[in-house]
Amino acid sequence: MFFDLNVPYSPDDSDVPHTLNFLAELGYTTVALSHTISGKLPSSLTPPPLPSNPPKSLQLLTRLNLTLSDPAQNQRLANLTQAYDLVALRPTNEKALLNACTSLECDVISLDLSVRLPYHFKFKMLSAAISRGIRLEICYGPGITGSGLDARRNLIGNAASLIRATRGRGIIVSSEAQRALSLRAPWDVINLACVWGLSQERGKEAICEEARKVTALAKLKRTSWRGIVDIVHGGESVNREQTTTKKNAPAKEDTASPSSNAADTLKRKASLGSEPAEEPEKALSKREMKRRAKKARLESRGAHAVDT
Amino acid sequence: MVRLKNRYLLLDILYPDPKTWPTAAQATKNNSQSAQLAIHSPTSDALTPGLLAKMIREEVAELYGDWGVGKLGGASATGVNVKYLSPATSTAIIRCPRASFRLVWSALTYMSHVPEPGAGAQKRPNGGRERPCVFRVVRVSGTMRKAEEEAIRRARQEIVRIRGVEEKGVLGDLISGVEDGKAKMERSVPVARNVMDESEDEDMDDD
Repeated sequence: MFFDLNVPYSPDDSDVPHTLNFLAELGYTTVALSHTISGKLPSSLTPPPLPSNPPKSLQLLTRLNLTLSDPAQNQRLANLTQAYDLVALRPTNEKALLNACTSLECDVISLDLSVRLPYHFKFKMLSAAISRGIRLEICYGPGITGSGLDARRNLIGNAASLIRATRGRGIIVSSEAQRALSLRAPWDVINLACVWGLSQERGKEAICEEARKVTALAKLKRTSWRGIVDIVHGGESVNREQTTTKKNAPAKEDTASPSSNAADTLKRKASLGSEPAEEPEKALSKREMKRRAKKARLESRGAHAVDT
Repeated sequence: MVRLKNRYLLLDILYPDPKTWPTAAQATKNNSQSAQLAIHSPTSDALTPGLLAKMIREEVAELYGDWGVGKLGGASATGVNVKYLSPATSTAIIRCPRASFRLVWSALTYMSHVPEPGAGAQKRPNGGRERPCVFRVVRVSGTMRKAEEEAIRRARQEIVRIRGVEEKGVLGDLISGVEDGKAKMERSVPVARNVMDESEDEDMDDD
């Protein structure tokens, strides 16, 4: 299960079938075809149509890359999330990055690491994003071929500082390869991540587990009600035999969907608040567990002391 | 007993760019199966083991500078040794010191050209025409033998994948269900195996 969540795509490009074939050949299983918009949003936003006959082993997703420089630009971000499978923000300055980390609704923050960034990454800012379920993306494509020596050097430097600032957590690696030639096989990418400063396990997670979490969480955000209740199976196959329940089931769905839509459009804050709920379970580290055990021991000893 | 510890990298050379495919494959490039065949097309004979070693050395020198070349065993980089190179299947096995195999691996990742088939063998890689390619490390092994076994296994698997598709087209359901199912399974999961194999057999040759 390897993921490449950033493959630039336009439907009239003749090289797309080759790129997809090559991705399948390299062993990727899920690929997000991205569509980049910078500046003002067009009035009607629909993702470009998917290619007609992709390789069977590939699962295709749609993704929007939105370049962000002005904080006042993003009123319609909520509508965007419904149209695309993934929404990635590309902040161009520190203020926009802070905004994206702390408040904006998106799935991935994808910085352009092949240019020199005039600011440092702060752990507090990035960890706020990670605890909201947003992952940070490193795109290795610009550093591999074509973009010159400076792009490669900047990419390595920025990737290393991003890894340092996040302490290796919540990072995904994807290609952003303009052509099939700058794609690399998953294990080669993991080795690159090792050279940049991730451990091998973290590097593998960055291309498998973390990327899978991004897609799963994005799906949960879009289909379910506040990320809690989701209709996994509508019960259609059961209803074929029993005509009486068949009438009830669609009615149930009808009542469910408007409410979920209403919740999505009106109460974004409530749906936001539900995501960090999954973090505390994971956050119980070994050290914390030891600390709690020691506390409990001390308390019980103290109780004994009082008894005697 | 002090032993020199090595790593053996088994690698493939892939050609994703349709412009560099052989002309027969270009004609039928919409077919995904012939595309698979063309991605694995043969490398030119201009790529000799010595040239490949030299290309790796230069790339390490570019990426890591003097320190990197020093880690590979000094100015002549004796640590990097191309043990096996088969232009017909675009496969190679490279020996490198264990301490610096990631240097060699990342240098391979950053390499993107091999000599063009038409170019003469005496031409330098930078002077002559170049063919864009992708190097893919498919196995990291502690012994030569394991790398060899993996190379054979992969070559066999590729043939089954190609032939499985072909025979299905010609013979219909005459081929046995076992092979068909196996081929189908392998087609759906091309490379899901772990690349890192850190085991070291004791019967390896020390040299």
